[in-house]
Amino acid sequence: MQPKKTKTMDRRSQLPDELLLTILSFLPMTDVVGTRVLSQRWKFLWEMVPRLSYDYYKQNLSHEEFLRFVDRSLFLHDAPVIEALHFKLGGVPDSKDIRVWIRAAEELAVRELIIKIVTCRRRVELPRSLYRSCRMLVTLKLSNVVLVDDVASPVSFPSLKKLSLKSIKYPNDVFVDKLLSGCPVLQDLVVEKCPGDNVPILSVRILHLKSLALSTSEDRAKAKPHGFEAYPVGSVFHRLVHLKICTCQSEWLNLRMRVLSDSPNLRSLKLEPCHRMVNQQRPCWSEPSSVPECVLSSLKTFEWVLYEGREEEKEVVAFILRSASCLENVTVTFSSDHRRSEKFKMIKELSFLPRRSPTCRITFDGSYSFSSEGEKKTCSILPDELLLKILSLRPNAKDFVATMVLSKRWKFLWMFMPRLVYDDSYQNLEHGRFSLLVDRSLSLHKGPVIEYLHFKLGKIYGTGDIEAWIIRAAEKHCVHELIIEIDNKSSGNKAPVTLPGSLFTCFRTLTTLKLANAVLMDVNSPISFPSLKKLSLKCVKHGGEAFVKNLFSGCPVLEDLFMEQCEDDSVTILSVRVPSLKRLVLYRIETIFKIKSQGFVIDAPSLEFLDIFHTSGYCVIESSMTQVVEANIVINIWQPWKKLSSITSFKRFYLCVPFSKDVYPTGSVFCSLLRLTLCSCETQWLNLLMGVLKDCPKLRALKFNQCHSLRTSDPRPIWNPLWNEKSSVPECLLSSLETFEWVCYEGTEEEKEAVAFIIRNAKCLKKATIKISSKATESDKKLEVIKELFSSTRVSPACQLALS
Amino acid sequence: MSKKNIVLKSSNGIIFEVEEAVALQSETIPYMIEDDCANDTIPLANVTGDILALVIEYCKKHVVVADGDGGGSSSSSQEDLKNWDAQFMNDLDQSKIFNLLLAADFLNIKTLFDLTCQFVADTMIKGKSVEEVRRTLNIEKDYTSEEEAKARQENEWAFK
Repeated sequence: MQPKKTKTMDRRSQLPDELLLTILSFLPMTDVVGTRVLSQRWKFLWEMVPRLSYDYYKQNLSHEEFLRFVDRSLFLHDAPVIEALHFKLGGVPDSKDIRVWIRAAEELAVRELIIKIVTCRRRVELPRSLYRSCRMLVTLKLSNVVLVDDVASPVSFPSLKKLSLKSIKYPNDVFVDKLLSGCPVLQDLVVEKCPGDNVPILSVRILHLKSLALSTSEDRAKAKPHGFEAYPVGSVFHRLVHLKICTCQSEWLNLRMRVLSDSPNLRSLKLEPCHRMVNQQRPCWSEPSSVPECVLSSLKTFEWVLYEGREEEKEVVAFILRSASCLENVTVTFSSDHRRSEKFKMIKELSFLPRRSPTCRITFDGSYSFSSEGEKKTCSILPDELLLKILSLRPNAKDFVATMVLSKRWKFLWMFMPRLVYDDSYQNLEHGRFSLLVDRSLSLHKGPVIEYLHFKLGKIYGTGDIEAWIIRAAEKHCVHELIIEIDNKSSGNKAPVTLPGSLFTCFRTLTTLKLANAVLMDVNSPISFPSLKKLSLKCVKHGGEAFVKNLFSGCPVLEDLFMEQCEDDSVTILSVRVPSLKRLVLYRIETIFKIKSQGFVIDAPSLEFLDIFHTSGYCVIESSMTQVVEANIVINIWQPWKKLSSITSFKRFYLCVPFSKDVYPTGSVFCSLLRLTLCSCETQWLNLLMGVLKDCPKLRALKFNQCHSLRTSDPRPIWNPLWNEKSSVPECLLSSLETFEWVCYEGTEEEKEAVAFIIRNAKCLKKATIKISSKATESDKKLEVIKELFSSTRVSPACQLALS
Repeated sequence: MSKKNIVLKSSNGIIFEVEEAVALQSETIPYMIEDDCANDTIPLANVTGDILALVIEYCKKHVVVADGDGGGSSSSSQEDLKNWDAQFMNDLDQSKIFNLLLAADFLNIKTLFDLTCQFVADTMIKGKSVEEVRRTLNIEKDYTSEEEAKARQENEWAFK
C-alpha cells in the first residue's frame, strides 16, 4: 500500500458532509450531479446541495437535454431548504418549463431566486404563482423576463429584502407599484429599464430602502423629454444608504440631484454607465441652489466608474468634493479608451479640486492615490472621537468653544464635547460675557450625554443665572457628573449663592454630584437621584435635618459620601443612615469647643472606608460594619465602640482620641491590622499606644503623627518604666513590625523613651524614619537629638535609620 | 521561568520580537494571538515600523516597573517613570505624536493613550488662541477670511 495515496484519500473523506456541500455549492449543477458517481458516499450527496445553479452556457447539453436535466435534478433534489436557485438561460426556454421550475422552487422554500435570460428571441413569461407562494424569498433578481399581472390576488413577498429588475416587461403601468407595495421589508432595489419598456414612469415608494440603483438602457430622452419620473415627488428615503445611478442617460444629472436631496442619510454614491454610451446630447450642469443634506452630513464614499472628463462630469465631482463634509473615499475609474496623457491630465485636474472634508482621499483607477499634501502630519488623521477625547482633557468652555473657527471640520465638533468646565475666573471674563457663554454653549450643545459638567463660580450674583443654566443643562442633556463650586474667597463678602431646588429634582441621571460653599433652596418635593453613587457636600448650607433625611432617602445606590459641615451648620447631630454606603468621610472643624452638643451618628453596614474628623463632637456607630478595611478617626468625645465585629476587618487604622480606656471593648483583637497611625497630640496617647499595640499581632507599619496642635496647658504624658519590662513588649514588635515613622518628633523625654523602646525591641524593623519638628528645636538641640537617636541600640540588623 | 517571545510585524513589514509581557500591555494583541494561533507573527496593518518601535520602547520601559513592585509601588520609581514619559513625549515630532496616538488607540494601551492625549491637550490646545491652535495642530484653514469673520460674528458670545 502506498502511504501517500491513503493520506490523500483520508484527507478528502475526513471532510464532513456539510463542508463538501458548501464546496459543491460553488459549482454549476451539471458538475454537481456528476459527482454522484465518485463513490458510495457521494451518490446522494448532490441531492442535498443548498445552492443550485443552472447555467445553459456552462455545459455541453443540447437545449432539450438541458431542459430535461433541470427538470430531473430539481425533482430529485432532497434538501428541505434551498438557499439559492440560479437560472441563466439561453436558447429558447419555454414559459411552460419555467413554470414547472418555479413551482419546484416554491416547494423547496427558496431564499434566493435569480432568473436571467440571455438571448431574448422570445420573451419568457413568469407564472403568477411567483407573486404569492415564494414567501421565504429574500433575494429576487430578474432579467429579461415578462411579468404577468395577476388581478385576482395581491403580490406578497413578506421577507424580500433585495430586488433587482432588469429589462423587465411589465404588464401595465400600475404593476410596479403593486409589486413594490407587496415587499414590506425591501431594502435594496435595482431597476434597469429596457428598450421598448412599457412603463415610462417608475414609482419607488419604499421609504426604508437602504440601497437603490436606477438606470435606463435606452435613450428615451428624445421621445419623452420628461420621461424619467423615477418616483413620486415628495418621497423621502430616510434609510437609503447606498445609491447607484447610471450615467448613460442624458437626464441622469437631474435624476441624481433629485434622489440626493430626497435621501438625507445617504452614505455612498456610485455613478456608473451600464451600457455603451450613444452619441447623444450631454446634460448640462447647473449649480444647485442648495446642497443636499446627505452631501453635507453623511456622504462618505463616492465612486465614479468610467469617468470621461467632460465638463459636466468635472462639475459634478467638483461640487461633491466642495460640499461633502464627511467624505472619506473618492474613487474614480477611467475608461480604457483614454490615452495616458489624457488620464494624467484628468488626474491632475481632479486632485487639485478643493475638498471640504479634511479626511477625503481620492483614488484613481485603484492604483494612483493622491491624498492632500502633508495630511499625514496633521491632526486630521485623528477621528472625531479622539479629538474630543483630547479636548476633554482641557475642558474649559472658553477654550473649546473657540475651536469652531479652526476649520470647517471643527465647526460642530465642540458641540459634542462630553466634558464641560465653566470657570469664571479663567481669562478674567466679565460676568455678562461669561453668562452668555454658558447659556449659548449649553443650548447649542448637541451631545446627548454630558459626562462631566463643572461650574466654578467666583463672581456670580444672585440666583437667576445659575437657575437658568441648571435648567438648560437638565432639559436637553443627560448629565452624569455635576459639580458646582462657589469660590467664596475671591468674591469677598458677598451674599451667598443660592442653588435652586430644581437641582434636586431634574437631574435623574446623575451619578456624581459635588457642591461646595453654596446655599441650597428648600426642597419640598421628594428628592430623587436613582443612580447617584457619589455625593459631596462641602460647607453647603441647607434646610437642616429634614433636608438631609430627604436627600439620603432619595439616593438608593449611594456609595461614596463626603460631607464637610461648616462651623455654623444647623445640623448638630448628623445622622448618616445609608445602607448602600461604602466610603464615608465626615468633617467638622470647630474653633470653639462645645461640650457634647455635636456629633455624627453612622448607620452604614456596607461601609469599607471611614474617615471621621470632628474637633468637638462624638461619633456613634449604630450598625455592625464587617467590611471596613480602613478607618481614620479623629474625634474629641469618644463614645465607646459598641459594635465589635468591625474591628477585626481593619487593615489600616488612624486614631486620634483623647482617651486611652474604653476606646474599643477590651478583649478585641485587630487581627488584620497592618498599618497603624496614632496621633501624639493628645495627653493620653502613650497609654493608648501601648494598649493598641498589644491588640495588633500582625502590625507591619507604625506611624506617629500630629494632626492638630497640642493643648499646651495639659501636661505631657510620662513614659511608664513598667513598659520596658520584657513581658510587656507587644507581640507585633517582636515578629512583624517593619517600618516605623515619626512625623513630628520633638525630643522630649517620653518621646526619647518611646523611640528607644521601639528600636530596641523591633526585631524585624527595616526602616525607621524620624522627622524632627522644626518649630520646637534650635539647630544645636537638633544635633543633640540626632546624636542620641543614632546611639540608641538597634535590635534588628537590617534597620535603617533616616532622619530629616 | 522561560520567557515567551511574540513577533509583531508592522504595516511596512518590519519585524519586532518582544517579550510576551511587553506585548501584552496592549489589550488588542491577546485577541490577535487568539484569532491567529497558527501563525507566530502578528501583523499590525495600521501601525508603521517607526511608530511600532516607539510603542515598544514605551512598553518595555513600563513593563519592568509593572512586575518589579508588587502593589506597594515606591514613589521614586513612579517619579522616574513620569519623568521618562515626559522626556519620551518631548522628543517626538508632531506627526509621530498623532500616529502614536492612533497606534495606542488601535492597540488599546491605555496608559500610552492617556499620556499622548494629555500631552496634545497640554501642549497644543491649552490656553492657546485660535491661530496658535491652528498652527500647533497644523490645521488647514479651509474657511475663507469672510467665512471665518462671519462665523465669529454669528457666535460673538464665544469670542470676547
